[in-house]
Amino acid sequence: MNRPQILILNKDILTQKSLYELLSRSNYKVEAADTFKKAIEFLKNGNFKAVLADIDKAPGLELLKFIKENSYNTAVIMLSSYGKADSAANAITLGAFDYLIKPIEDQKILSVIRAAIDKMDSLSAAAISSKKGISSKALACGLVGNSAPITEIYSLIDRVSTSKATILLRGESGTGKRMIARAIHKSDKKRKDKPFIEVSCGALPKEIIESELFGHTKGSFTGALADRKGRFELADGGTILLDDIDSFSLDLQTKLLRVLQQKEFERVGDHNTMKVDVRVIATTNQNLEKAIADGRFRQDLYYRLNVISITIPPLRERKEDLPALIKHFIAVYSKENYKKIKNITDEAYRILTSYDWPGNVRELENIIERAVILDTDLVIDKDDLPEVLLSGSSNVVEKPVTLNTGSVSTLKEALKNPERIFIEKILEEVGGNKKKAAIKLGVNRTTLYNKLRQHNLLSYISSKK
Amino acid sequence: MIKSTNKKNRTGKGKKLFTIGETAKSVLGELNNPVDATNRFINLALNSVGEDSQSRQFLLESKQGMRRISALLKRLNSYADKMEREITKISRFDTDDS
Repeated sequence: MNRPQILILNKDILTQKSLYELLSRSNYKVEAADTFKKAIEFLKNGNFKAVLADIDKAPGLELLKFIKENSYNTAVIMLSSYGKADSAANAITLGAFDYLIKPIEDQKILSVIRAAIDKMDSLSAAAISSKKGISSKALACGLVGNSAPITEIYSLIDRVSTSKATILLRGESGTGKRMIARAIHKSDKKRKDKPFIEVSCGALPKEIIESELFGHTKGSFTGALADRKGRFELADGGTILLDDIDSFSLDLQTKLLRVLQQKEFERVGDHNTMKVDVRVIATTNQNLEKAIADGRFRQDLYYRLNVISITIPPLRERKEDLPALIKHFIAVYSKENYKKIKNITDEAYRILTSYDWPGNVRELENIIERAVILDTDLVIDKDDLPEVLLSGSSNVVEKPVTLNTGSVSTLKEALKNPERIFIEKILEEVGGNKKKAAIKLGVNRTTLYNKLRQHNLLSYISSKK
Repeated sequence: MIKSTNKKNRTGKGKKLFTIGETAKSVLGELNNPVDATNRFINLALNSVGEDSQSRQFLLESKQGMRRISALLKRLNSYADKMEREITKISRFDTDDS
């Protein structure tokens, strides 16, 4: 997960250092500058979500003006030692997000930063949406998030909604495939007012699935007491969602292929061919290519379904969307449970953002619902979260280190981040013990000390003790 | 004559208030930064010491002390702010007089 970047502009080294420590430990990537020039350099080379700018000794107001004039997507929070209503008003007029008077409580500063980042994220999402011409319909279908992959999906929804093509939605369980299918249906001008029929293929018994899909005539089998329309007939003019398409038997796959190719079928026990105009959306959380190789899935059906394929990324790969999703589910379940949840503590928030969400958005939704129900003081805190999250480190999926080659020019710079991550990992394994860490890393203690100092990890060690 | 004495008094009072206000502001500027940072470092330290350790007790005591200083600084801040408003009022009065 990319940690949001924060820039501190403060001439007072003690304050600068304390803010650096607090924010680094709160999962932010922090840079600190003591002059306007240095701050500008950082701004030009980074992607800062927020700037904490001191206006007493440091040129915070100048930095604010620079940020606004150059249209950086960065929130500026002004810090001052001396609270004067007119200077606060002046800073806010110039576009500052907030104006805080020292001494500032840690919780206050963290909550202001979080609010600032949320605001910047929603502004950039709106900007991206309008830039890409994404319709608000897709967003109104309950899709939440503004990360790059999700924004791309919004755009795809708009582009595919007007076509007749069959769509295959791929993604792990709980990623929101059904929601996207519904959004496609709602974005389709021609079909949006027609039925949207969902079929959970995996949940229907094999014996009745054919009659469920295509319908049956009276007396066609024991228990067929009357004629019955199938789901394809019910969806005529609209959309049919075939959830877990991989669970279809080979025999049924052949029949489905005919519907997709010729848009026609027969009810069970009937010889009359019926024609329907239905858009088919299929979902799967399986590797269909492997299923074809294993002989469990028809290749021709795969090609028919795979006209347009949308892969929904797991939540762990789009953690930037977590704040918006958390906020959304808190609002939804507060309303549903007649509660007025005001906030979530930073600790609880940290736990939620550091978990890897194997169950994806569905798991997050369930956990937020549970937290809202269990909460007693209108603020969701650590105690409202289940044990699995509190001891969730075992669920963390190890991700390969990715190199950001965009802003580095030398090999040394390129290796800086991976080196830090590796040292942190070893320190974690040995519980912060420097001697053991040096042995594991294959360096002597002096080298380790130098590396710790270089990567600002000395305080990390003391926090582990 | 009386008018000019009043004006002289007001100017004197204004100067005095200005000096007090400026002193308060510079004291605030000098003290708020280290107090702010120290509060934060105490909190960071509290997060890394054992629940029942003696160090924790000492840190909590220090936090109490820092809270008192913070409260005092906040009062000084509102006092300095008040001074500044008074000065503005006096100078506006003088402008009106002349």
